[in-house]
Amino acid sequence: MIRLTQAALLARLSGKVIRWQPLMGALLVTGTVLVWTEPLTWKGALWPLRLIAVLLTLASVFVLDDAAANVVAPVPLPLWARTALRLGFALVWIVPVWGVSLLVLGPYLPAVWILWSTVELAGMLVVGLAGTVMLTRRGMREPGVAAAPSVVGGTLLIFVLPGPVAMLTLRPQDWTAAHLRWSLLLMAGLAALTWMSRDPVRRSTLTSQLAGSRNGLRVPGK
Amino acid sequence: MTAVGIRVVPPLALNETARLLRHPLTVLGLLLWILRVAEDGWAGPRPGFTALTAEMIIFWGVPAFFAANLVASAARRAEETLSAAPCDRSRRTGALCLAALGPFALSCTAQALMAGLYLITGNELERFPSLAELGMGPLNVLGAGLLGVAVARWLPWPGASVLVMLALIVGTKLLFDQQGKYLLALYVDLAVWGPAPHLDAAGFLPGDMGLHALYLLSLCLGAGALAMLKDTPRRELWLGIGAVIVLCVMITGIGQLT
Repeated sequence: MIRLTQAALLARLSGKVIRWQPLMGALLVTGTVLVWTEPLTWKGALWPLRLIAVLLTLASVFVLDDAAANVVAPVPLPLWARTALRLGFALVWIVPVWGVSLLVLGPYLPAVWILWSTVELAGMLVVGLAGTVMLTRRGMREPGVAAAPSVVGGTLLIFVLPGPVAMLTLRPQDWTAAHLRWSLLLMAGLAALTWMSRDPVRRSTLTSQLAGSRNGLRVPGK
Repeated sequence: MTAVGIRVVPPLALNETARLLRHPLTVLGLLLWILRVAEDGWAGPRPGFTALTAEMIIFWGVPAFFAANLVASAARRAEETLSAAPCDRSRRTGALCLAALGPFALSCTAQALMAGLYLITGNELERFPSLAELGMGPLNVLGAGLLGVAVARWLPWPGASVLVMLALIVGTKLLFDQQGKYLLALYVDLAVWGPAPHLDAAGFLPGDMGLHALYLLSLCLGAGALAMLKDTPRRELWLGIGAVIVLCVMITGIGQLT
């Protein structure tokens, strides 16, 4: 109950200090892309959708920029909860924007691409956020500054992956294999995000025991 | 700038060059370019020409821009520490601009090696690219580095570099799509795409490529002057240099189209 109260208080404060400008910028560009695009083929609708996915990822990595991290650190909420709170802010914004994008461009796409383009967005987003959380753990107060260029670099890398491991392929015979790779990337990203979000101070009982016996200390409660 | 102050710049520039060359995004840029050329370079006369002359602009130029921006803004983020060093911001900016020559030299070497590989393997192109056409990629890498420094100095806000890159991509796309004005764009694919699957040679877009290389060089110098203008105590000098460079950009820009 105390934690819920703390989380609610922190959510209210985080809403005020969060960096909304990149999200607003991405919203503006996404709107322009949606208005500007006049797809003649399904491929003409897919590339703008992929561009929107990259834009949403780019904007989301700034959500973890936290100038007040040192102030907030003593709050009795674990790091994973504080990270989840900020990622929640990103999702609250991403889900409707992506939904509208699918509504506008979806009719031009084969039905299966609604799912696959969402898997592509999820993969990009989770890996981008995992990288951002990693930078935060390394002490960066503005991880978005370094994470956004890394997202651009990662997107270019995905773009140039050659035939056998291609992920942005348009050849129907490679669709399933490519999206299997996207799913693997998504799962690896989720695992990394969970691992990176654990509290650095909190250690497992086993680790504490090992560290205690190595230092000749008695673990409390044992 | 005193003689002592100037003496600080070369070792600082060497240090920044090493940081820039070791930056993960610089290494990624080189890797992306190699991957791209390895896939397209020997696929046919049209993609072979494009891979050698144009691919470096995107796949190395974009990461080079962000690498330079991060290296330059890292110094800004450590301003309190650096304020104790016997070197002010204008000298550090000068050193960073000189450091952009490091990735440029690396890209020139890589381009020369790739051109040599084309010749050794007898890669059949419609014609071999001229020196100016081969220089488009490295000149863009140089310009990307200098612009990255300029953006870090003038727009020191998180996300500004991404917005600038987005504007550059949109501007380049708009210019390249315009009939007769494509040489004003930063990315220029000279080989004309033939019928699908676009592998055969189908001629080249017309234009003076020597002047295009000079146009790109002028833009590079303009980015460098813009970076220097921010913190220099001699604003009039750099404004004058900037005006001359703008004139050069206009002359070479219009000249290449005619």
